[in-house]
Amino acid sequence: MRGVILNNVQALLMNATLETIYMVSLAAIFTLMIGLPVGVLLFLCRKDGLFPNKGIALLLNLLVNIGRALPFVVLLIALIPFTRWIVGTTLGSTAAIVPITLGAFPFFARIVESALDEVERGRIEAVVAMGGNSWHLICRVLLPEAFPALLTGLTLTIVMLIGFSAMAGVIGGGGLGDLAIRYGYQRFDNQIMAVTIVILLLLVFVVQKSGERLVRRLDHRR
Amino acid sequence: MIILDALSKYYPGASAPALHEINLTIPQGQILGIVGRSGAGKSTLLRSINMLERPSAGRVLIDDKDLTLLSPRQLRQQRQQMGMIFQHFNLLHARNVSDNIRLALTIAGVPKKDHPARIEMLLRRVRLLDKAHSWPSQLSGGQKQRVAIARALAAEPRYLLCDEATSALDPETTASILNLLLELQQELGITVVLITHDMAVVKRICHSVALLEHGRCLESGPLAQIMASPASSLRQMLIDDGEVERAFLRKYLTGGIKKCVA
Repeated sequence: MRGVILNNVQALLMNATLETIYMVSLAAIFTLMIGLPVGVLLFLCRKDGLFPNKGIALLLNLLVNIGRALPFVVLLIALIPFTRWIVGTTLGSTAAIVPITLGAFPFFARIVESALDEVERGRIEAVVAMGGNSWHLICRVLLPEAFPALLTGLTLTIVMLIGFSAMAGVIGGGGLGDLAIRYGYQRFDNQIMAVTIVILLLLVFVVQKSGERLVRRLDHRR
Repeated sequence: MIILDALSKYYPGASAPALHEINLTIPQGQILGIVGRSGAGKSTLLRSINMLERPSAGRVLIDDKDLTLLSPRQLRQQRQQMGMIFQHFNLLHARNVSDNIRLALTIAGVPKKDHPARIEMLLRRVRLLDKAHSWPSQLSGGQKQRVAIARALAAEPRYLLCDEATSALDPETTASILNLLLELQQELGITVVLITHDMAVVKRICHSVALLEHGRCLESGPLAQIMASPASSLRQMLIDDGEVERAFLRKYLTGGIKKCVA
């Protein structure tokens, strides 16, 4: 009997962990896919940028600022109709990916913008002077030169995504957060609560360390 | 040949023009030094030659082509004809030495299969063949500038613009970079425009010199001509320079002027 319960608990935790990893991985990919271009555009279109464009800059800044200003829990609930429209349901891990991505990409876009801003102007100018076109400037200079900073920013974002994915438990998003709310909060099951915390900490730790290690391996600035 | 025709640059809000009706002619295959105090407009002038800085008025004629009239695409094409090197080298740190040069080859549209040979040739010219796979962060200042020169030469330009190219280097390294520039001018017939605040640089490699002050060109001409006019302030600056070279003075003050006209 006791063994069965333990196995159930194990399966529960295992499931929740996998759900969290699923949510975070997919959300990370979508955040990258949306946040990177938005961040690049934010950088290019600003007043002193390579291709100043008041309209686009205004629009993107508005979007990003709104996304950054809203507390995630509020965004999570506010986006329920939108999530239903996209995924067809508002429950479960897949549904949770929508608000997580929309909550995280503005943050990542800002990180991209500031990472690109760190690239020395002279290096960009040198390639302009060579006759490089905008493709060369963006893909051969800006992004590779900013790569270590972008990777650091992505690590930061993924850690934040783990937090967001836990919060998605509030609306039944599945994963470790959901588990903590249902068992730890509603059933006062301290054991499951404790294990959940440990797993979350481990996840964050692994992401952070691998990110740092990768940056160190790929960074030739020093 | 580069002709600057009444070139002016005004920055909005600035009280004085950054450049005021500059007229300069730089014959093919010569080295022109532009000197002046910081803030005199040297850098703006140099950067106007390849349109990194758009002049407010006047023309930049390169081989009779007015650069101010070119479309962005034509301008990119034209810029490949004009290498540029910088005080802080501006190498890309995410690429090793070979790949820095490779980018210039790619931009110039050199076929991929020719890249290795071209890179080797360029590195041989700047004597850095052994550093092909080093990262810029592993190189000394002089080596970085050599890579920058190799990169600037990748598209086989006819012109080389040097923006304080030796100002961040020690005297010995400066000398070796200047020798390299002289070699390029002599062997490849490249026209070099360099800006510097160091009169020793002018004395060492320039054929002609222009003095800029408050965005105006006060004086310009072949070095020999300037050394022959006693009232010239440029001459005074050249002589007053801390490192007066006896040989240099002897060369210009004892009738050898004709021989030194390049």
